[in-house]
Amino acid sequence: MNTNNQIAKLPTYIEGFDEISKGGLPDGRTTIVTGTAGSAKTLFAAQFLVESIKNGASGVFVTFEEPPVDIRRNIKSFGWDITEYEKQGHWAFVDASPGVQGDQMEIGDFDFSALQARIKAAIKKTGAKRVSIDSLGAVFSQFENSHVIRRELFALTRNIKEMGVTAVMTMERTEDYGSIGRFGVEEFVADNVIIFRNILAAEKRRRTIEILKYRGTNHQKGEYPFTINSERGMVIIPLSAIELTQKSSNIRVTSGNSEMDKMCDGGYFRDSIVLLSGATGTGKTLMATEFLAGGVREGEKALFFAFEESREQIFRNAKGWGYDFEQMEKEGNLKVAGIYPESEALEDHLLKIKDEIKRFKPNRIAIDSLSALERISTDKGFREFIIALTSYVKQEEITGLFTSTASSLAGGPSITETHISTITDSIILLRYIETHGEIRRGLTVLKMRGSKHEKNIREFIIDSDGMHIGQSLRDVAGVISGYTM
Amino acid sequence: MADYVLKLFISGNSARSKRAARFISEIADEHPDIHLDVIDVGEDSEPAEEFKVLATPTLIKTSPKPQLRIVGELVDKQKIIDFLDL
Repeated sequence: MNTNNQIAKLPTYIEGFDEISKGGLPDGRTTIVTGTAGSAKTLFAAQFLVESIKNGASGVFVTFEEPPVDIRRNIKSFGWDITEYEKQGHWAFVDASPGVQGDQMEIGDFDFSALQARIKAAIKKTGAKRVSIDSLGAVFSQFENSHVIRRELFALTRNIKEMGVTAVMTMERTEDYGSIGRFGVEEFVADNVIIFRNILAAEKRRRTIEILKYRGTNHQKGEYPFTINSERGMVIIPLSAIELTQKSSNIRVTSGNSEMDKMCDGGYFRDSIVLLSGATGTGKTLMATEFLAGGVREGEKALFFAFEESREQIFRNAKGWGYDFEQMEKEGNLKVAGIYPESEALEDHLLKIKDEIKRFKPNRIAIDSLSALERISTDKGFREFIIALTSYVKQEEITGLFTSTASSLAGGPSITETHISTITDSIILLRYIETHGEIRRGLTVLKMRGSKHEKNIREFIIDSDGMHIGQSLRDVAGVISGYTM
Repeated sequence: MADYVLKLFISGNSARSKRAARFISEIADEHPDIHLDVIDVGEDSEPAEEFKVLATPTLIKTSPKPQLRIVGELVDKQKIIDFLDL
């Protein structure tokens, strides 16, 4: 099975995890899951079992910390009914939480044979191949002799390995960046280590997961963001893990504007991402509207994520330019989602966008604007969002048009653009241009990957029929820098 | 005089378990009002599950209340008697 002597992996079915881990957890091994308080270790340990139960397996949950009644309740908030799994014989708790059993005294040496026997019995009863142990550190509060505990935890992990199960052991750490654990147990069992982090950066919470090591087998390196979704639990965003599978298409689709199609030598490429940059009021939303309507006209399905305006406002605008969005929605060819950017974290927006794409199956999407999303995120988080979004859109062979608001009226680079200009296939600039004592509008196709395109700066006007691209604007310099003369 | 119910959880033939069993048996012999159950977790893990026992040897006084536990080899007879109030 493993020609290159690699340890096999057991799928976890946790969204995104099997991608970043290249297949799941090392099969038949124990993986340490460490993180500070509230970093979602317990959720991972529980979801590892839940997802496998949904896929026909069973699991044993050993809890040293929270009593089962608390875990059942917490997990139920995701819609997962552990009590039901227990009734069906798919889930068994081994309750090793500090209970109400009264006073305890220690005289001399002891071992964890009773615990091991209980775990063994639970595994036998359920036929489980997966065991979660949460969390190791809590054992130290139940006994006085920490040397004995350390020795016995080591024996326990060795024993679990012999049982042939794939185990997750959570362990608390005191800092997001520092030593793996705090009890000196980790070095015994640290063949496989996953770190969860919950960092406060630029006043925003950022959750990440990092596979620190998998002995004898491959995984993706570095930190990956994740979010906790109320229905799906932990969802990891794989980023670069999905980036590599992109193919590119030679099929052209309309930009929604016949003159723009000509400038692009026949339209945009089907699975390409177009970045539309311009100051406020230059016509970005109009171009997005024409892009969507143009697709619908050609028999495509179009999806619009509007982060700057409400649905009503968008319908009104479209009508003003001669496009009946309401009718298109009724016919099922268009969907407009008006979303308030601050309503959720960026990772959650990404999930929503992906969900909506999965449901509606559009041929093209427009997002107006990325800049609105940039406000709610850290730089790093935003960059990751862009990578994840563009790779998903391309993978699904969808044409994407993303708008970006230039920071000054005259244009010039915005932070959004520095993040995404290398990722997008085409860049179109819309600019205010001052010539001969007049403010006019000009546009240019700055870049178009894999195609020739017109390089002139063209004037355009906006009226009740939409956008009209006219003649080249000669004697204009500084469109890119934003300093036109 | 109250009746005492003691449960001793041991693990097979480990030296630790044997030693603990011997000590408790001696105490039980000297106190006729003690009822002692010795449970080998390797043979039956159900009682350990019920009483949420992790460690062996563990001695639990289940009656009279309150429930009290001693974990370890139980090598100090007087300490056991004092703690369990026998």
